[in-house]
Amino acid sequence: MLRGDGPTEKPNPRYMAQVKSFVLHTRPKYYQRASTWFTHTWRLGWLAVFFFIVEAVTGVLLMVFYAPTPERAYGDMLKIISGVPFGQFIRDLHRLAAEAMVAVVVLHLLRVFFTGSYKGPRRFTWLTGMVLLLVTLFLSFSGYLLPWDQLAYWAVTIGTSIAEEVPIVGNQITLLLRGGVDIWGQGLLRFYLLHVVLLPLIAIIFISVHYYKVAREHSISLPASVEEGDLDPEERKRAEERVDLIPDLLTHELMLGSLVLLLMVLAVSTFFHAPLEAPADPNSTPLQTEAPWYFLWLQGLLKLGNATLFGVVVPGLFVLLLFVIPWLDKNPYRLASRRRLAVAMGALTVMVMVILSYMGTPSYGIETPPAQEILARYAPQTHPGPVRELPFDQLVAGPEGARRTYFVSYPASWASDERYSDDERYVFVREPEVGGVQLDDFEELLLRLKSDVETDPDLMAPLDESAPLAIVTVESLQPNLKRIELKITYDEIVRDPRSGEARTIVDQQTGEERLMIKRDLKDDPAPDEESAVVLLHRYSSYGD
Amino acid sequence: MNAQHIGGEPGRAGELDRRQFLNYAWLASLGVLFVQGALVTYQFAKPRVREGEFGSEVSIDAVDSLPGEGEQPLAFDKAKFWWVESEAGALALYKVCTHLGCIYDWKASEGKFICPCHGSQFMQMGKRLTGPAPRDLDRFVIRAYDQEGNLVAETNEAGDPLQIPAGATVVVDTGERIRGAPA
Repeated sequence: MLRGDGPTEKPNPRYMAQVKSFVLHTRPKYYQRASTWFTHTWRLGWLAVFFFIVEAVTGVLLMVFYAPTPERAYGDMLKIISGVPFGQFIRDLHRLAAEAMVAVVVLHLLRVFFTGSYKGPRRFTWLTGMVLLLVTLFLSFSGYLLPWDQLAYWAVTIGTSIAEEVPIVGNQITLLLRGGVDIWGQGLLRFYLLHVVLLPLIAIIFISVHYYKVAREHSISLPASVEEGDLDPEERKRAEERVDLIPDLLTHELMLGSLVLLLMVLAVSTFFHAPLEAPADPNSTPLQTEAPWYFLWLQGLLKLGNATLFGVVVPGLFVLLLFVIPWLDKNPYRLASRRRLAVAMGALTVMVMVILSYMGTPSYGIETPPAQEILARYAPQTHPGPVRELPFDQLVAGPEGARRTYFVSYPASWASDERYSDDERYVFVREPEVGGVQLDDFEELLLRLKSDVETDPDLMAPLDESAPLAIVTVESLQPNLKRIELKITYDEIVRDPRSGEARTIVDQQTGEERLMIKRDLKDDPAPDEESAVVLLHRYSSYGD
Repeated sequence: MNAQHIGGEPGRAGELDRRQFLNYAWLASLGVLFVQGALVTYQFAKPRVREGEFGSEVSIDAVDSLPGEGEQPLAFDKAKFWWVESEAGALALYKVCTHLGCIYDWKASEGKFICPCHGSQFMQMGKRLTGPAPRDLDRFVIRAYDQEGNLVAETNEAGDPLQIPAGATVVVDTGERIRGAPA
């Protein structure tokens, strides 16, 4: 402005857009340059809102083809994936943005914590941010049930059974959530309504309050190095100068948004796909039900013991602690060097959460019988797995679709047995004798299974050779529908519970001493059996 | 207090004046309104069950075909319980593991109930053997009626096995679950 100019026009014509436009008026007119440094905020709050909008748009599109009833939900998922143009694309985007939103919200919390940006006038904003963290987690979790597959059903069953451990009102909460003693139509409807109405509404209200505080009350914090550090005047002047929203930041945001969207589209069109498993079956629980990654820490905590203590009290206190951090932390400084204790405790918390999450993975600290574990690896109920991914045509059944048995691991004498000489019905799996033989996927899987069962130290082929250790049978039920069964028949060595040494017994028939096996203890002396069945349809096979 | 009192005697120490009384009355009625609202919402949203469905009394049609003492347990999938019987009597065990709500299976070869999720094991009569489950299996109340419809036997509050009198009709109340004894 030059001396002698008239007074500035009001409203300032430079900011006319924000005066006239409702959407733009929610944004500040300008920022201090240092508060917009990318490595200060990483744009995490902005990204959270961005993903929330992606969720809203893709979510409404998905609702067009989805009805939340047990009869329709799973079928609608199949229809969205295979019968709606871009259906799978939209669903994958919805899933990806959901996971990204959880990640970004958590990172945002960490950023605000480690830059000490929750202090002073920003305390209340931190509080609303904590509410938004919880809402984000519940939004994601409530959406988990909607595909109505095994993974969804059991993850939510286990999740809601944690609520049962709340003292006094636990049962009532669980009943209200599940809409019955167990999850069925009412429960699905309730989770749907939470997911599409109640939680988004709460999210919108709290995002508004949260952002109002940032935009109108205290603005984005300056980096601690600018606020408290020793900058030379030149640098400080530059750090604190104004940057206008229009055009500088808005163009930057448009660029960032387009870039993230591009990355998401690339991800869903190459490797990222929302999973869909077998339809929900309340009467059969899959082995190894895994919580979504952002709740693994809770599953890890639960493995420590008492469910009320580790499922409700400890996580409850932890969340409460997060809420009140701004009031507990009386240190007025923000530079990491001036708040070493807070930074150390933050880092420690992050490490504990990572360790707990590792402990929450299904394989940690849970012993499953070896046969079951091997079968679950090949034909899991919670994701497609190797068997379901085999090309349909490689699975050859016997003559006229009858059962063909692939002996994977068998007593040596069986291979030359007359009874199994019919090549069309019986196949003995062997390592190819000469190198360079081209094996198809199914043959490779059989060889892998053979080595898995034969090298497992806890599995023992039936001692009396009454059955093969492992077989796979393939049967054609109808044109385009095959039944594949994996069966492991085994004896278990009885070990002394204290020393772990194998016990011995004198065989009643031969009179010789031999290892004691579990069936010596049973009335009905048969070896143990575990099997897994996969029904594979030509057009739903994941392989081709 | 220096407040002006309009249309009333100034309050004596320790006594409510009219304005204070009205304020408190207002607050109290607002509180009552909120509590009522919460109760109405709770009652409205509370799940309800129909006769014969899981959560209500399920009558067992073929009492004779129930497994007797020393026989394999019988699963009632819709009503979500296992019928087990020993010398001490019968139990209707809730099909859900007391750990985290998975469905456990009967392993005939081992004579145990085993949960596939986290490996909890229970004996035939619901007693916890090993694994992370915190307590024995939960059970439902069994009621036995004679031909005239009089109640002749009922599972006690501790959930102990019940001797079913001969010729009785049997009802399992899946709405009344008794928690298993803590391990």
